[in-house]
Amino acid sequence: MKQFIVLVAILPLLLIFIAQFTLQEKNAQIKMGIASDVYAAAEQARQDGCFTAGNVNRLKQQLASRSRTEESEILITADEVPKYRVNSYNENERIHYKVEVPIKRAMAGNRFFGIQDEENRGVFVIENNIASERLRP
Amino acid sequence: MKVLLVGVAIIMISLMSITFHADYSRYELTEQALKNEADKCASAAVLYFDEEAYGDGEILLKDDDAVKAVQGMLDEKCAWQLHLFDDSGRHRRYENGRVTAETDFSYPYSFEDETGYETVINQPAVIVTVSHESDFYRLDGVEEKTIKRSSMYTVNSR
Repeated sequence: MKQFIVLVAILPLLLIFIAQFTLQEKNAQIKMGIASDVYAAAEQARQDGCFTAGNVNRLKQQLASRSRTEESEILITADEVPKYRVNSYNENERIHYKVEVPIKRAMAGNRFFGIQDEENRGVFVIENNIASERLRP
Repeated sequence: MKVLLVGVAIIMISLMSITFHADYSRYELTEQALKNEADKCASAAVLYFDEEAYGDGEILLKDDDAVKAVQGMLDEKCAWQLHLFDDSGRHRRYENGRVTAETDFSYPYSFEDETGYETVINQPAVIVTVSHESDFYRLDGVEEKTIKRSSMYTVNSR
């Protein structure tokens, strides 16, 4: 009986490890997917010279479905004015973008440790510059 | 006592596996980010070539602009090497902005970059290798401290 009581006390703690492992793997896969989606959108922006509205909307939809969040929670700040390919390096002709995607759960069993849901979240940020390949008309 | 020891061991192993898993995820993500950095640097550096020489049917890459492009893109976030191969028949190697080697070559040229990847250069090409050093793993005994990734862009049409 004593061992059973100890098991009941210790079991939730051990289950948290399993849940945390699963959650970490899920978050890692989400982050890899986000990085890959953002990279693909940036490659498109290289061809277009900027992040077009269509490209931004498509990226938002992809990120929302991947991270299971609302589109309104995803922040994308990107150059929407075309930059051009010139035959000498010019810092001003780079396309800048910043993507922020919320990661809703960082820790499994947070309430067990007294951590509120609002505190148990993070933001995955990707900020970068790329060179435009769009030729000046 | 035996049960206590077994319990402590299970918790320790669980903690270690979770720590390793979190670190490995970060390592994997950094690897992908570095590959993307190498890609964007190589694709930016290959954009600049001598227009007059191009009119004569030759592709000569502009070293200064290529170096500035890579420097500007990476913004000292990591160490880098840049290899330029073009119709001049000179292979130039830059490391963090400075020329470190210049040798003759001719197409096809077999080249092994810093990551150990061997490729055959058949046309003008830019290879960028980026590396980042950090304590990725918190557990003792995992020695992986450097991530190195490379990317090559070639000029396929003239």
